[in-house]
Amino acid sequence: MNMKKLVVFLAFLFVSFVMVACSSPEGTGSDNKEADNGKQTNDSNDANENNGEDQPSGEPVVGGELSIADLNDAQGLDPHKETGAQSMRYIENMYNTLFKYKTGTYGEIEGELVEDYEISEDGLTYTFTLVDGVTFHNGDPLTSEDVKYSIERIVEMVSRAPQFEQVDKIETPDETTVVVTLKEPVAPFLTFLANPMNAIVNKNIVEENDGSLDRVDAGSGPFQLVEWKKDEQMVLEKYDDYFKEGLPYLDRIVWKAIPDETARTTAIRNDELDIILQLSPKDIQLLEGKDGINVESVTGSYWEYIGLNVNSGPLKEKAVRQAIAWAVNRDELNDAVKFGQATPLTGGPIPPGHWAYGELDTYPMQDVDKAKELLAEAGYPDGFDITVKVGQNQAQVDAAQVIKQQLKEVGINVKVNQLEDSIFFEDLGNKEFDMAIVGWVGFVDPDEFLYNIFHTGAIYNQQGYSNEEVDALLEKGRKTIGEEERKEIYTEAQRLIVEDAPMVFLYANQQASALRDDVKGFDVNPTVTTISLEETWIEQ
Amino acid sequence: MGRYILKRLLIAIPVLIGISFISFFLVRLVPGDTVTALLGSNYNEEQALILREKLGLDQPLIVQYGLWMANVLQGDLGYSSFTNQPVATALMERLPITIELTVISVVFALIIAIPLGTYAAVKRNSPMDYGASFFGMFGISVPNFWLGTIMILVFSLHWGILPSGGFVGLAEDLGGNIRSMAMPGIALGTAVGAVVMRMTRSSMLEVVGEEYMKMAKAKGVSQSRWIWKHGLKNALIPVITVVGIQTGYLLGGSVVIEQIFSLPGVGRLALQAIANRDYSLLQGAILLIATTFVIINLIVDILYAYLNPKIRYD
Repeated sequence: MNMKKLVVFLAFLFVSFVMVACSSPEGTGSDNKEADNGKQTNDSNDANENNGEDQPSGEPVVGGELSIADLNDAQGLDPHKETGAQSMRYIENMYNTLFKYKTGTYGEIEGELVEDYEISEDGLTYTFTLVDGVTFHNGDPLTSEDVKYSIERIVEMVSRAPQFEQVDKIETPDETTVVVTLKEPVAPFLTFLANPMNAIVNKNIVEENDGSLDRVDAGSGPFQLVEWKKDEQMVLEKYDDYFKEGLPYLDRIVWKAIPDETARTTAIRNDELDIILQLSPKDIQLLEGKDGINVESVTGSYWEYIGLNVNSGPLKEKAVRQAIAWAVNRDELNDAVKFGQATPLTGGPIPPGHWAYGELDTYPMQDVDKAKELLAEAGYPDGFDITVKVGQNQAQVDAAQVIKQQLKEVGINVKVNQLEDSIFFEDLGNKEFDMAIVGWVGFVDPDEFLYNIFHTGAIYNQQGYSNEEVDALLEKGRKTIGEEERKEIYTEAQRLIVEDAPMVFLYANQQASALRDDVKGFDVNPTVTTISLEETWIEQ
Repeated sequence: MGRYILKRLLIAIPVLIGISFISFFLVRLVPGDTVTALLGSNYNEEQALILREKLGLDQPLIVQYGLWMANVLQGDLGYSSFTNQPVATALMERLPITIELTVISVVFALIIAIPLGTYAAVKRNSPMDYGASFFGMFGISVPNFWLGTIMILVFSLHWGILPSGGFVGLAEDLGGNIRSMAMPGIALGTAVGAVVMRMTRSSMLEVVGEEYMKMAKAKGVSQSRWIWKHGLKNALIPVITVVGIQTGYLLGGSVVIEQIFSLPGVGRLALQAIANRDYSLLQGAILLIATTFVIINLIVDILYAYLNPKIRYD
């Protein structure tokens, strides 16, 4: 082989790598970083929003095929193993859970496989009565044994084991009764059971496949797996013996992974698609008002912030952190980076629309004078130099530039350091940063929003934040049953956190979907869940 | 000839081993590894250590390379660390689509480039020649992702005659397959067509000035015979080289087009493998692309001998 050709070829390969590794092609790598049980993300396409006002009009029509697109395809189909959001989209339609997220709400749940339940006074014993006559797709009955098996398998498979670490024992006195005993009360326990990935699987199928559900269907859900060609399409078909009378309405659902933005929006405008699950702010602008297409959006579960490492240089001073929180102009950022479509967070991370939203308004607007005062008080009247790290998300890179300008006004000189995603997250995990711009997505219970991120020494407490009062409140919130009391606890915890400012909360993104006009009954949900597909129908 | 081919195939072995070596270390030079990609935002030191050990990434690089190479030589490319699918299966599922895309692009390119380049040379400085030069500049300057996007807007959105993306199998529906491959094929083939056209034109210009061409004309051969038989066949050798190299690039370089048109080909798989730091999958993909590149080069060299019997390889 000609040496020159080989050299050219190798140079070409090398350039391709460097380009792919260093640039930030939309729709690669971190696209699936949105989460089933909360994940840190810097992916703009994790954007979440939702309206819930979409009441079906008229009589549902039975039958028909619906095609729905998202950015990327799933890695696998094992509910207890996968962590990617795209896997969750498929799994939640193939499987059932004991509880489910209530349509049109954020954070509320209702029974699914559970018809009736009881929680003991001390919050330790849960007695569930299962719906009778539920069958898996292969015809096997779904019994209390499968529930016990599934929870034990979740713990074994590691991904979501922390949600069940307090489970002491699971008993099955009869086929439709499950008694779960906890070592300590876990307030979000039912919410965890509603996580679509904590699905009830058919023990027989798991065993037939040597324990692997990567490419098989072991569910009892409204739709069953017909064909999955990775990166091409995923076809689900109605399960005729579904336990909910008359559901689902649709005969078939076809999922497509379309990474390119233009191709995706063109497909729905051309009527090749019925739903685009997640729209970027740019897509929203493009599709809004187009004939035959509805854009629906709600404040979603994806929120972004500036992380401030409380053990690093000037950031050790609370006054300095507060100064940064005052110096940031959230509205300007929202306009510049999110086309004005996000919801600025002037208080804590739990967004409006969630039952535990705190209504704090600690930093209602930018206040440069106040920021300068605080800096002077902390001994930095002339400001200081600092580095902010960002990953590959373009919106976060843009935000870093805007924030750099805003902080200049109070004398803080920011240097932006952009990193490749996996390096960026590694640095965050190792607390190797001063400031970082990033986000979290997929939380449902307030405990998920706060405990692992702000409790002293907690697993994702990357800021190194520690406040005994907050710790006590978060521990209490975890054990208290009842929305009212918990809302109070979490509002207080958020108030303290926002004042201590280990993070400067920026905004909660919209979760927006585009639907063809004839699609009815689909719930655009903050968590991006698609469980409402069982009640979705197409108007004739 | 047989001996020559055998010799060339034997030489390809060290070349491929060299490529495997370079690619192995190249992918590890990129910051981050499989574990940071697997854990993503849930990264923490403890889990990372456990996973590294489980995946064998805690061993010295040279040991890892040796183990991988030993398996490859036995025909085992390993398993994807993200999907647990055998790498060979994943690649073979995708390869036909990429090959089809490449073939369509090259055929499209040749259909346009060869006649256009030839006529442009024969009718030098005519409007036809200027048109060809314009096409040449356009095809080389315009990036294929831009062309792809514009084609989606024109052919799918405004005219509604072609689907905006997605793949329909050849066996399932021939018409659907052609419709789904037409735009990506053209978007990818335009640049190749431009390069080949320019090469054909300049090579043909050279040939037209040769003594034997004047001789042929003086002898009174027909115009078409003069162009195609006497002229083009002699002008084709450098063109074939270019086509060969371009085809090699297409096999590995269709990444962007596969992404835009949602085609499940090798390029898209490799792109995901890079983002996921899925080492075994990525190394497998590179090895596959390199192998096809080597084979294409061999075919090109054999074609030389057919086109110009003066070239002998013994």
